[in-house]
Amino acid sequence: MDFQRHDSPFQPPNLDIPSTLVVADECDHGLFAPLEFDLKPDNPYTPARYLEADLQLPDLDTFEFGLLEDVEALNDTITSSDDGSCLPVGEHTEDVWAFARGHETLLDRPEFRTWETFLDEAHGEPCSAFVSEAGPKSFDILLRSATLGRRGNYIHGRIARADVLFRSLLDLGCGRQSVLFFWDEEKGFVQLDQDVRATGLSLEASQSVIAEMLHTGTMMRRLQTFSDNTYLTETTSPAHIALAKSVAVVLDVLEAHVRMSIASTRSLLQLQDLFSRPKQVLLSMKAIVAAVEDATSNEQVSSAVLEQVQISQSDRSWLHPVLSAVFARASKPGMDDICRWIGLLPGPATVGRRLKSSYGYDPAGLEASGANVSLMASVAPSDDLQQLSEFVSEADGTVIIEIARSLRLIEEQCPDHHIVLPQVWNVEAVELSADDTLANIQRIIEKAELYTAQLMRAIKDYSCGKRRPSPDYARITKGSSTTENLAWACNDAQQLNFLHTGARFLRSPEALGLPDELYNLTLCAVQSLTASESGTVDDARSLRLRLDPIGIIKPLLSSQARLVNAVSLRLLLRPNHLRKHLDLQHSFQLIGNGTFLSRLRTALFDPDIETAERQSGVLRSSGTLGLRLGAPARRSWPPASSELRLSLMGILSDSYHSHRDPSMMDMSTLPGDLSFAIRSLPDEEIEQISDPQSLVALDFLRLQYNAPNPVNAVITPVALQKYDNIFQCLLRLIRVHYVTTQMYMQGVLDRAGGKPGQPRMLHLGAVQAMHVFVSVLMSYCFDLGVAAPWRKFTASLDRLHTELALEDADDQLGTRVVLGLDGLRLLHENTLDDIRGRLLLRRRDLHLREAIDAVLTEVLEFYYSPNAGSNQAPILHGKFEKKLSTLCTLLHESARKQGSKNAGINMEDREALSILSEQLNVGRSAFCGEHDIPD
Amino acid sequence: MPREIITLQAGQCGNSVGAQFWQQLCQEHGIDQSGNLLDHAVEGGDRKDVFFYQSDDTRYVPRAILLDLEPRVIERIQNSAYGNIYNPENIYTLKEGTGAGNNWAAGYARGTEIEEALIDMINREADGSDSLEGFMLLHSIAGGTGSGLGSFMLEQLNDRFPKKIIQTYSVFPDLQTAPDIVVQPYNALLSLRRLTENADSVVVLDNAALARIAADTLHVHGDEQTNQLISTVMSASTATLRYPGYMHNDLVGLVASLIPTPRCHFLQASYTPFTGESVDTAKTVRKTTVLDVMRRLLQPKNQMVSTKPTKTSCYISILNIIMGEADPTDVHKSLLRIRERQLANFIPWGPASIQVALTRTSPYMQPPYTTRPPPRVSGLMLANHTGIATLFKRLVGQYDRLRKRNAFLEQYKREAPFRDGLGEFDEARESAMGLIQEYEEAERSDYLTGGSAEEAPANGGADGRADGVTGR
Repeated sequence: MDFQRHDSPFQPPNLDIPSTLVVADECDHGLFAPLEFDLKPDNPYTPARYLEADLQLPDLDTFEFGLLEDVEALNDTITSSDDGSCLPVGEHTEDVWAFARGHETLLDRPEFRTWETFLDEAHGEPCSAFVSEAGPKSFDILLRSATLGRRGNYIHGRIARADVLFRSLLDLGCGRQSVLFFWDEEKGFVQLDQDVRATGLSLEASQSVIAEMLHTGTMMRRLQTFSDNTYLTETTSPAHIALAKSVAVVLDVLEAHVRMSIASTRSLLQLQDLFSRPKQVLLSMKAIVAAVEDATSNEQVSSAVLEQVQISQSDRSWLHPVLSAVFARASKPGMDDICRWIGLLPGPATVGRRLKSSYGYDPAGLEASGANVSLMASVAPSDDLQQLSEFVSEADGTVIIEIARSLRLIEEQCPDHHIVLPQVWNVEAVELSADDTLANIQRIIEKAELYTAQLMRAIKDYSCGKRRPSPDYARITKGSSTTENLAWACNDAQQLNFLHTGARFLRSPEALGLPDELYNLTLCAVQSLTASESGTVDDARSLRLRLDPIGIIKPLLSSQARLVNAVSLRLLLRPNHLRKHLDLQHSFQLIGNGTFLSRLRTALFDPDIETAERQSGVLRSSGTLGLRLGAPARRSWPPASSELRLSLMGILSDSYHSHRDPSMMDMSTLPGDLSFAIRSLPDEEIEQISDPQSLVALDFLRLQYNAPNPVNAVITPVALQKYDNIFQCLLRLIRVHYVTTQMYMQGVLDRAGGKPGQPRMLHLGAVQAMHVFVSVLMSYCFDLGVAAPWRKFTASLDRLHTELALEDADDQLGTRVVLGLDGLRLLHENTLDDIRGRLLLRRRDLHLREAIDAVLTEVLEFYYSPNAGSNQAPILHGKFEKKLSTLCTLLHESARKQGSKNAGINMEDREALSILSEQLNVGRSAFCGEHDIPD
Repeated sequence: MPREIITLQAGQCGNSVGAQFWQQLCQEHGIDQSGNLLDHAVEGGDRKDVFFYQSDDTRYVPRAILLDLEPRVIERIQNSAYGNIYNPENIYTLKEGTGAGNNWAAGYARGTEIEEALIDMINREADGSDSLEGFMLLHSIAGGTGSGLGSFMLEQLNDRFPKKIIQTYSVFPDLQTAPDIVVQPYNALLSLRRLTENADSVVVLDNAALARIAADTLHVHGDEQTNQLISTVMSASTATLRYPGYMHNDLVGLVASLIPTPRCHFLQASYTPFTGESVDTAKTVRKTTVLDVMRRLLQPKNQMVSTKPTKTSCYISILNIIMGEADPTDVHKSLLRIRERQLANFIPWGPASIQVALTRTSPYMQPPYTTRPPPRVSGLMLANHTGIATLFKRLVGQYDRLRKRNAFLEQYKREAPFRDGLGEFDEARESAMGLIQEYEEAERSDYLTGGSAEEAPANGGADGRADGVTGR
């Protein structure tokens, strides 16, 4: 390598001078002349063998003074002569100098080499016979001569000076600008001249190397920019910062790696090799950074990183530990946030701000926003789950969200509860260190057990009324004249807040600057070292665990879930009287209160009570008013809101209070402000309800209930929607049942009597058939449809209460009851789904529901038909029977199909459907077949 | 808004049964002997106002009108433990009266004499109701007051309250053994006409059957026990009104389930299992599953009417009121099982109406408020069965035997209804025969269309959907 100083990177070398490394033919231009001794062949002191041997000192151990054996006696005269002309002519004598001449050739071989000729500019290398071995310059000359004259001077590229090019490429690889490459914000690194090539390489080969280095350098620079800019952005998430830190560490490692290896790197090939692994690292890091570009939250960053790690896992296995470590770092803020969210770590969590951190939401707001709560969709935290992260499995995510929501619920209800701020109550936060991996899962379990024990003690203290903070807290605040000790700060919760603020300041900063695990792993990866060489122990198992950070906190998670569930469940069931609210739903939305049903029926249908309709010139009395749906005197439908209000006034509160002890009830309002309301309907349905004789005439009426906090954790808007769906169905049925009863009263209870065979008897027969049908349907809907699933649900609640009482007696939490708020919510919603299934309100039973509605419509038509009492009765009855027959067939088929098609289907549902089918079948009149049934 | 029911109890039997009934209602609703709520009666959920109203001092007062033509029975009631709960203004007795002397005509005639007073009481009580649904009459049709005065009251109610439901709990005489009262066929037949024409629903309680149940099932004898049986039946049959559910929570709902045509409104009742403080010996160990209860309800020995159904007899309708801890699914399964096993035959001209009502029981009729737990599940069956016509036939037969001899008619002729002749008897007999004929026609498939009587009944007269032989 020529390290001579050059003035210009593009000054072409003098191609005609020999290379300095070539041994010159004439070495007489050196600083020192070749060493020559005056040792002529005729010199008697000419060494016999070679000079060095003779100049060598004798072996002192074996040296003995004495006669030299091989030295001739000095008495012989030795005459020195220049040539052999002195020999007698014709006398064949031995050429004694032949030996010396031989020595002369020997003298030519060993050369005396000095640095003098190395610096000789005029020195030329001996030329090889082969171009391939003739060195780069020969290649360059050859290339130039081959292309010159044909396409211009520089088609072969301009040769950059090797040292400059090398250094520039080195800088480029490290993401720095140089004389050859400059940085463009948009394009990345750009080459100044496109025809630069290295000596000894073709333009294409040079550009290929350069392009590769450009790519590497650009990546390096962009990653540096990401790393630097991330800190500057205000809105960036902690995970972004953690990732930026990781990127910075990785870049540091790459630079260090280049720095360490550059000394031994001489050629472009070596340089390229030096950057080959860093390039792979950079590619992966670039992909990760690109993936998190759109991420806005910790969880999204973590998920994006995880995805990239998994993609890179297959083709760059050597890089896996590095990427795993990057993921571990990037996911840590998210994990910490989750841990804070679920109360494992102190401090506020950001994740809760984005996710729906509390149960339920304002139904009024929901309605106002026009959001449609689908009946099939559950408020299961699925949306939140998706947001949460990909690395959190669905099961874990559900648990996490349930814990978080339950905690928020407890926080709202009991802000000073020990489980909300456990650290204040002497429960140590569980800090999982970097070496808490699956390998020492036992230690994590021990930590979890310790935490559980401490937290349980704190919860018991709370239950026992011990509401004072831990001694540590007292010690911190005692004697100080800070605001914490002011008179207004006596509230414990406020004190806790102060304590936390203080604790944050007291925490020691993390150790910085030391080579960390990621540094070592990256260095190891780029230097192609094995794990053992690098000093890090990373087996496949721990690598896998790195990608499952939830796995590490699982023992803690389950403990926390157990305790939080236990506390929140008690909170909901005991002080907040969830049962009372559920009973209310059953009484009114599911019409389980007979008094309510009776009052409602009278107010809506009874034609004998005074109308609430506004009539000009008529004063309304103070007596009971009603809507009188279907009464002939009724002029308009649907009723005005004032009429509705007058008719339905007091029904709910009277019915509610009729089931309560008068001395214990609060007469002011109903739980959840239960009231009647108008259901918002699409235009086409509004048109339908304006017909008072139609089955849907009452579909506008609904019950409004605003589940208070925290009851809305169980009675969610979706559940309320289901209740509403059921209420609508039951109200239709009640109306038709009332109609059949009215027909009965008009027919049978008319004591004027009627003789068999008269049209009246036929009318009575039809009335009885319809009344029996509606009664059977009512009985099915209320007994098997509503009561049976609800009974199961209340039995579960009873068991829950019993188990909680047993737990309390045993001084335990979460040992018998594993159900949380979410479990309870699901239980409730499943019950409502069961009810809807039994009432054939699900989409799959639409055909059955339509068939039922068709029969009910026939009943209404019969009731409102002016000819029902005449000879038309058999015809109308026949139409009813035909619809009923269709319904029976469909029910029978459905019951049979459900039994055979899907073994997983609820057997009880199938049985219930069979019962309905059989009862309707048996209950059918023998009318069919005796009369011509019109189409 | 309650659907109030005013109870009229006439005569010795009616008042005795009524007293027992009100005592039971008070116990079930946690009302003490002074009409106040007991301290522990705080659970709510019941509708006391169907049968009680609250006085100004919030005492619960029965909507009951006690009528008798002699003071003995009512005085005894007033002196009993629950004697103070009644409104004294609602009690009418002839202080110096000696009763109707087992004479329907006397009872009826006294009724006409005291009509104004009676109607005043009824009107006052009706006006005190928000939404009067109907009247319940408790009486016996064998004696004089219950049958005669009861008949008069039925006519009056029918005239004055045509839209209100009139239900009676009528105790029929024992027509199988030698009668206690020789003229009871006269009294019963005359009453039967009013029950047929002026009542909407008649729960027939047969003294013979009641005595049999008391003796065979409960191993007790005496009027008090039979009164308790009746009051138990009444309590059960009104349970759905007092502990309302989704259906059968008013009188019309109950009646509509059972009576498809106006005249066939005579119901028979079965109850199981019988327990109670005074029928202690009835404490037999029973398996009280829902199916078991429903099967027992169909057994003749538990029915409170002694009829002799023919092969063509069949049920017009059945309503089972199941009380206690019954799983709705079990109930409906049992119902289906009953149908599958064809334990009951039904009319051929209409739907086989077998309905079930699940109702709560009083929380105050079980420990710790009582010493013994009630049966886990108990049931009352109200059935409309064509076999009841045999009871009327027997009654007409007995009447015919007496009438043939014109026996004991003098005392009737002395009273107003018969002063102009005995046409009342003939009309009553004609009405009874018409009723019997209607029940017989109801066993035929052409009942509604009014086919010729000679036409053979379809499927042997009974519903082809069941092949039972007894009709029960």
